[in-house]
Amino acid sequence: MMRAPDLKVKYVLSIILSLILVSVCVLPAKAQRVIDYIDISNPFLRKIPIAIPVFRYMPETQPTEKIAREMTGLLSETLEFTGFFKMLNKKAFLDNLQKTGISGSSLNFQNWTAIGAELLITGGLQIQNKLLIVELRLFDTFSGRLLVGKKYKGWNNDMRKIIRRFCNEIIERLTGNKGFFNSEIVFVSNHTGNKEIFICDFDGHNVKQITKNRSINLSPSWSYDKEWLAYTSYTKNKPDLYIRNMGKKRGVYVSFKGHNITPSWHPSRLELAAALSKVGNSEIYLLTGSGKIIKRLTFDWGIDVFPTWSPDGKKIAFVSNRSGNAHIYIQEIESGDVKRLTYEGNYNVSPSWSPKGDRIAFCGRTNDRFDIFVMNTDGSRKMQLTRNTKNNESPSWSPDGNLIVFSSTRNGKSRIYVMTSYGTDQRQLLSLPGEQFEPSWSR
Amino acid sequence: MTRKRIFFCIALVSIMAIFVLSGCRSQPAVKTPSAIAEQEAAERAKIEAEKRIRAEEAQRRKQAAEIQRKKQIEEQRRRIAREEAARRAAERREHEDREARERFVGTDIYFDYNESTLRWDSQEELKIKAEWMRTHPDVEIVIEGHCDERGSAPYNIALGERRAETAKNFIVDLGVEAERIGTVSFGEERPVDPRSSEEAWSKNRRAHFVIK
Repeated sequence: MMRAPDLKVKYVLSIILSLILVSVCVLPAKAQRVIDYIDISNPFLRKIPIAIPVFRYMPETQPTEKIAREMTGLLSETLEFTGFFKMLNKKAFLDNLQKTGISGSSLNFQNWTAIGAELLITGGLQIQNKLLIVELRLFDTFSGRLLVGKKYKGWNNDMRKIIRRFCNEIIERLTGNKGFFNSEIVFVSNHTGNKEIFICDFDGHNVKQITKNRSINLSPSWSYDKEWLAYTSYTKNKPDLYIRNMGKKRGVYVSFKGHNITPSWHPSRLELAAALSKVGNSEIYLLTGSGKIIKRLTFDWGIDVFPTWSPDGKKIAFVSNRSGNAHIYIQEIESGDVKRLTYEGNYNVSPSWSPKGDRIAFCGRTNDRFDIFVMNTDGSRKMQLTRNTKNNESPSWSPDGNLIVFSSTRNGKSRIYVMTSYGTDQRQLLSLPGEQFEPSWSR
Repeated sequence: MTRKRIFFCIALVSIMAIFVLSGCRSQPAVKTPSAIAEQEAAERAKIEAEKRIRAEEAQRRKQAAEIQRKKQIEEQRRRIAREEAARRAAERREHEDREARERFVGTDIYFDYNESTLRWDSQEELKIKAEWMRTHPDVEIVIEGHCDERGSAPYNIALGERRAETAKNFIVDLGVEAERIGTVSFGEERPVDPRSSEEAWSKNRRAHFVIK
């Protein structure tokens, strides 16, 4: 009989059709979320033009206006730091938030697309009895769509915190990855007369001195939770490791015979790899967070030093001169399998594994000059990021793997610089007397 | 009666003699002036002679004493000279010892760029240091390894350690006990010359010896 199979086929066909319709409706929205705004595989290929007009402020008094301008500037600087955006000049703006308001319904997006903005951030500041009430909105100007809308309350000194929190939201919305605006950079500076350890915010603000022992302090490294710092210190007149709790300001020494240097914390556990020469030769060991040896990782006659972890915690890249010259190797922690990565040059040191897992930055010497390179984790696609700028050393990745902080002597003294992972937008991070070295970026 | 009388007479005479004799003593015999003068002259001569003899004797004694004193002085001088010589020798030995010790701590051994192997001149200097350590068996030392400022600071700590260990092994191979030698690396952190020139760098790439 023809009837029954016909119905069945129609039934199945309609299910398939509806599934197709549903997926057609759902998928493009998801795709739009990732592809439309920032291409995370090469976010610096094209900077997105963004407009950040001065926040609307209430009450309309001069002190309130001052704070509004300050917050606007802070927001603009913070986003500009990522290198993703091209900040449009305020002088070109056609509209003024005091007049147009800040919500999607009252804005005229054509006046923003007309000046080339693809993104728009409107802020509204209200001050009630010294309490700041801040509304922040991120719009796609072409569609007029609200991408992120948040409201915050705080006091005057919460300003930076509020802006950073909002920026983290923006970045997550635009790239799918968390923003790094709460991260900190630890580094060495000798402006007090000795090499001491300092920290600062990701943008160079809020410099704080961590060590005050008037000795020699080197190679600081953050634990994944930012609770611990490990560094090499000569407080006992020999190179020892000091593992220090940031909150409780106490710590332990790792003081084996010989040198105890280049600590590097595991990406998700309170363990660290470090180079110890207790057996008479520099080898890499795995240690607990309290400085006890878990196991020895390298077993050769050469100098093994500078471990850096893969983001999955299963491998380390490190420097060894077992071939006669300093080259970079990768070793699997479990199996102990070792692979050599660099073959060019005779001095490749200071490797840093990108949190994205795909690239390794390092410092290579050519003709007595030191430059920052990046390569894939199999040693291929080597790219030189600095050139003709004297000595550039100690690269360290931002938590999202898009920026690299490093030290450079391009202006005579060793200073801390930041650049994108493609080597663009190289700029100085800090202005301090003396010289700064060995920066390391936290999570 | 006669015996008694004879007796009495003898006694009387002897008593009288005694008186006379004693009287004679206190009473000079009377003489003629020339005899007196002669006697006086003779006496004076005798006194002179005696005086002369005494003087000569005194002179002789003085001379003898003088000779004795000179001998003593001479001996003392010789003794002082011996002591002086001994002292100078000791001083010289001390001086040499001090110089050797100063050379031990003051003369560093140097390395080529990026190398921890020993140059010929470094080996010669290490032989001298090893010899000094063998002749001073109570001395314990620390060898510091240093690098020039170029390159990575942590890598230079490892390289400096290599340099110190290489120097230590050379000395141990020459018969000095390993327990007497410690090593420490300061990497590029303690240059003797802070400038950035070839000259400064070559002075900084060194192993430095410290007596504990």
